[in-house]
Amino acid sequence: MKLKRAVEISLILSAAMFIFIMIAGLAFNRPQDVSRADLIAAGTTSQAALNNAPVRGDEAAKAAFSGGGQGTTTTTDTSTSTGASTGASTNKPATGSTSSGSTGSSTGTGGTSTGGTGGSTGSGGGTGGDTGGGTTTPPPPASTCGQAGGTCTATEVAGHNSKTDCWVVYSGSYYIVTAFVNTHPGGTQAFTSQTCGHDITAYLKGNQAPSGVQKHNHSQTAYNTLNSYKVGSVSP
Amino acid sequence: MKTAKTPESAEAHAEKLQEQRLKRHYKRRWPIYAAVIFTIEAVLAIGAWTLIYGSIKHRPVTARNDDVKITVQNARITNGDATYKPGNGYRYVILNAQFLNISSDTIWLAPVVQTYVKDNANHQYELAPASVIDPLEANPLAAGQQRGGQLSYVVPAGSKDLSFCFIQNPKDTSVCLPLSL
Repeated sequence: MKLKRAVEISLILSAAMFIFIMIAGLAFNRPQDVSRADLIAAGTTSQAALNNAPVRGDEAAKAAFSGGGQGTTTTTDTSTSTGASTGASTNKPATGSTSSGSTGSSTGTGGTSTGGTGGSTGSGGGTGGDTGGGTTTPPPPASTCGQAGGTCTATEVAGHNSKTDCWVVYSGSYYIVTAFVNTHPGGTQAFTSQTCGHDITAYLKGNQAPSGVQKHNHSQTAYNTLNSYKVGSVSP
Repeated sequence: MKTAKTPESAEAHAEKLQEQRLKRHYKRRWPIYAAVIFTIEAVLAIGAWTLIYGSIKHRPVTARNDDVKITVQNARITNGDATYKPGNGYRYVILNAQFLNISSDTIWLAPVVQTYVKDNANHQYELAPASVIDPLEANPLAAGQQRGGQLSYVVPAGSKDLSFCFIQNPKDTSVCLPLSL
């Protein structure tokens, strides 16, 4: 009877282990926030993303032992968050950031933002840049063509008409399909000056075909794949 | 002097016999039971190791900027299929990503201009068509809305330390998540 009891206990333990494994698997399958150090290592330059990321215990300890160097660099990066900061700059101490601030203002790219870190030197560069371009007429609205959700004119799309830079229009939206040129299942001959830079709605639906290509319909899968390449709309 | 067996003792005797028979039964068969239990435990242990190791190694990762929370559920490397081939010396990286709009405004998702994969030498690889079941749709994403789907990139075979990067608009800086492949 002892053996029978041992068998029963073993089976119960096995079942318990199985349940534990399932629970552990589910727990590990939950998304994990990437730590700040891992984001930096992966190439993240967004200060907002770095600020939102958790700091691992060992990272916090390292920062504490290094005399708060990491805290200083965070402040520096916030002031240069217009896009000029890089992952490498996050390790610079406060003194180093002053000199890099003056360099940035002299180029004019970050003049306004570097004023905060660069002190009087930085603001000098920023002012020069601002007054040089100051006029009373409001600047024309910047084109959003090529940006996510941006609007292009047909002329702007037509400028991208080569196999190395191929944009097309389909149903009022434009798509950047350069990646399709060499991998198009229907053959690379579909991408010519007749298609790149043009509205291909009729071609996709099989109503027409570019010269040298037979009329054909496209599968729903093809449309789904194409949908990832949509960028924005085309203004009439 | 013999004493007559009472009914109770006969019952006890029968139980004793039954117990002895069972003991003999289990004694004879204990190697079978041991083998069965050992097999079950071994399968469970291997399964546990695979599951837990796999879960840790390919655990979904997430990061957020002020507007979007990005989650990479999983990523894998493939050689393509009959429809799409990555070319000699290249492989597809196919990842399953989710985007949650955590801002109060509608934002646009356009993976072809907002995402790329990069390696440890900072080479960037843009979106490339592959046979995926559920490609990520490029469209506006309303506040609080979440959208997920697959994205594919062509990278040289043997690329190391790949990361998936998202740039919301050209003025933004990138959010890059390490890919475990």
